[in-house]
Amino acid sequence: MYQSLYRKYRPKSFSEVVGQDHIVRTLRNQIKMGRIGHAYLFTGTRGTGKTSVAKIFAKAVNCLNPKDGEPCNSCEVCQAINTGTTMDVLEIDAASNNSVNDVRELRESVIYSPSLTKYKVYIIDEVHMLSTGAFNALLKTLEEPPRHVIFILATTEPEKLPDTILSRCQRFDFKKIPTKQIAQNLERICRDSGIQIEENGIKAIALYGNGSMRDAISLLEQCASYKEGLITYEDVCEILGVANEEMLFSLLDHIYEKDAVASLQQLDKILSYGIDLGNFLRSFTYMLRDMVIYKTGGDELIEILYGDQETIKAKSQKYSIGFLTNALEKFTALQREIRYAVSPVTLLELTILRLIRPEISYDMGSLIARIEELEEKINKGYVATKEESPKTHEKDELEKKVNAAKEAKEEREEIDLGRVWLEVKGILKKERMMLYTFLEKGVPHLKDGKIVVEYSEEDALLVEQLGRPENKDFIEAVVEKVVKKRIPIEFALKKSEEDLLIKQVKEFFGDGIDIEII
Amino acid sequence: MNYREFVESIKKGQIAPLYLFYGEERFLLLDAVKRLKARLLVPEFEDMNYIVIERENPEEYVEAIIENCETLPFFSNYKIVVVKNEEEQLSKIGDKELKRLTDYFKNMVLGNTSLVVVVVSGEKIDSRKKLYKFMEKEAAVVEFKKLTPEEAVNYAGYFLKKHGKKAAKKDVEYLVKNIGTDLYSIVNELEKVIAYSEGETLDLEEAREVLSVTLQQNVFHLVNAIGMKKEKEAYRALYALLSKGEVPLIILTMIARQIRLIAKLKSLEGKAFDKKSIASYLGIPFFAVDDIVRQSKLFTREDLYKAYKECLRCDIALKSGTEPSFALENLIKKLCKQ
Repeated sequence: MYQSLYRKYRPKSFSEVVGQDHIVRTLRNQIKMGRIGHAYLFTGTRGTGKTSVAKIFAKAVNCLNPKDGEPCNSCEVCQAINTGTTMDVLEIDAASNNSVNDVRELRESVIYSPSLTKYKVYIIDEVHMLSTGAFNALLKTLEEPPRHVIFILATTEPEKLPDTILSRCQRFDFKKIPTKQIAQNLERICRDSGIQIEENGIKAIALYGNGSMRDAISLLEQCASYKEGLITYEDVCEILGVANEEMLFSLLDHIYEKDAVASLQQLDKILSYGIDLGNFLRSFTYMLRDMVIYKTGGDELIEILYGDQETIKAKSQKYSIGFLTNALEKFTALQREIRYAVSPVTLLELTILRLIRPEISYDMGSLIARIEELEEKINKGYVATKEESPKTHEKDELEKKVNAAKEAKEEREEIDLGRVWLEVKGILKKERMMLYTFLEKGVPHLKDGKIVVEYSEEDALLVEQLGRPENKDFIEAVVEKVVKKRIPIEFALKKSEEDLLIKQVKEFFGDGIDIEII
Repeated sequence: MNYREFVESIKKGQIAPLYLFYGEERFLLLDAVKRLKARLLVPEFEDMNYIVIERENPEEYVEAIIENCETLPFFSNYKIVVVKNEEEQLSKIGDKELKRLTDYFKNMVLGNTSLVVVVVSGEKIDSRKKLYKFMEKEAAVVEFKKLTPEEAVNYAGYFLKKHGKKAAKKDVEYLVKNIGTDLYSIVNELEKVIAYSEGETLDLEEAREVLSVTLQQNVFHLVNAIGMKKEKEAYRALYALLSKGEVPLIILTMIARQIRLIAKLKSLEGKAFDKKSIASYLGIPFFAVDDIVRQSKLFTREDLYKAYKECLRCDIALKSGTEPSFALENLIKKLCKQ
């Protein structure tokens, strides 16, 4: 019969348990010292080994020849427990047996001594699913259980248990298993069962398992059944359908190195895997967040990272905190905006470009990042010496300024907008009274050789009217008559979200309040 | 009577025929029952002479109690009958039955030298009830109160010592501060620490590996960390709160409240006020004033103005769909950096 990898490689002794050294050590010592408690609570996310450890513990306390707190796995008792043929170790799924009556039944069976073993062990899985009444009934048993009984409660959501239950148990928190250890275990399994897979692939699977051994092994199995022979890193990424962390980091690298081309290419590559944009952003922001936290707190805060501690630790050396914070802020804001975006990818690309060229964004974060960069340059001694280029540079600058001034002057000389506008309006007043009144309300500017007439929000209707080809053409013709030159005209709303917001608020609360936008 | 007096009394051999146990400290309560057992019963025949009465139906109680009290101890001088009354089952029986019970207690149990009846009630008793009026008059009532922190520290120290671990007083205090004064929790946590650490003295660093309860799961811990501008501490507290499932908006509200308290206190600056009137002005308990005073020194008026704005910004961010942990972490960063 085919047995899934996960079940086949379930740990059978304490030494095989991965990543929970603090728990294993405590339990083994308790067995050695003969200080076995009668109620345990195992908590932790899925796939961290709660049930496995519970079973090993059940064997270890009952084993006929235990060695150093370990079960021997060969005596009668161990084998009976391994094969599940004894009634003395009971695994109960609280999710489906959650009523008071179930617990009462359990309490009645508790009083009978075990038949084969020393202790009767009740492993109650998903214990948070019990009803309130059931908890109360269980509590009484936990308070004063017969000497031959050990309760092991396992749950992923300890906060759902009543305090009274929590305080009666010895609680063990199972940690997420570090990626490195998952990878090692996967390697062992591959060797053992003849699966050929690239090392990178194993790492990717381990990462995707996100601290859960069960998930990781299931994924490995999935990959193994995907094709015969060597499974490559690319295969793994394809099967998982994820932007693996390597790709994200290399994107971040490109952004950090201010390589716009490479960044956009990398982004394109990531997206070409068919990864959901939201998912991508989420992993990216979590990664940034972790690095910001690690940069702030160092090892002290290492336990509150979401991602793999080792990776974050290693990678965050590279980047400056200013850069990371700025990037995090930008991407968090993006996460919010992207829901309403018509073209999310464009927005994403824009954000990346803004990070690469802080010159085009003026918020505090970017400025700080720029200053930090300058400081770093100064610290490293990259101060441009005065003798060399600066003079020519200054000259250039000067020339540029002169040129710019000239240009500006020329433009001004070209048309005196105020005068022209008066004239245009004069003509219109005679020929098209309606257009004149419309124009009256707008404010003209010169911009890139165009005349832009801005209107406030209330006059949106006018903009629409004026924007009609027949009206626009007419006005442009008049302007041409006045300045002897064709100048395109645009009608635009004074774009100000703040005005818009204030207007909405005023509509809601009525006038007469002062509104300040922060 | 309290626990200590009870222990003293049975040491002297003053055994009452009828006890009422109640109180919040269930560990000691259970310990008291165990002590009675150890004092009065012969281990070999313990099972025969220790009877626990618990029934689903309150109506069956009286009959069951009387029935069990009638039988004689078996190869023993004493017999203990424990009546489980944690859910106030005895208050649900009718007056007539209750009268029958109290009469039985009065005539047959009091004065009986080979029987001890222990009624175990919940955390609190309602002394207006007939049963309790009777018990207060006739029985030995023992209340198991919650321990004070000092008592808890003493007990924890004693427990460690009993199991061969030396520990500095301040380390034990730290443990108790983190675990709380509930003895069940203390014993369970210490059991782990004892089994985990292989050395002779208690090492806090080591202990932290296996401790489950943390002070940081408290929102006040978070706001105080922010008030004291302890950034790292605040991050950790926030993480603990969020992973415990606290609602982000509530966390923000508490942070804003703290800023408001500090700002209010700031407005009193330069005026002579005593602690008591500060407390009533701020609407906080007397003992919390010191913390706020200390924190207000770390913020200038300008800072507070900005802090308000940051709170508002965080509020907008939370309500418009930013990842809560990011929004709150950002806020902490801004508040602590000022």
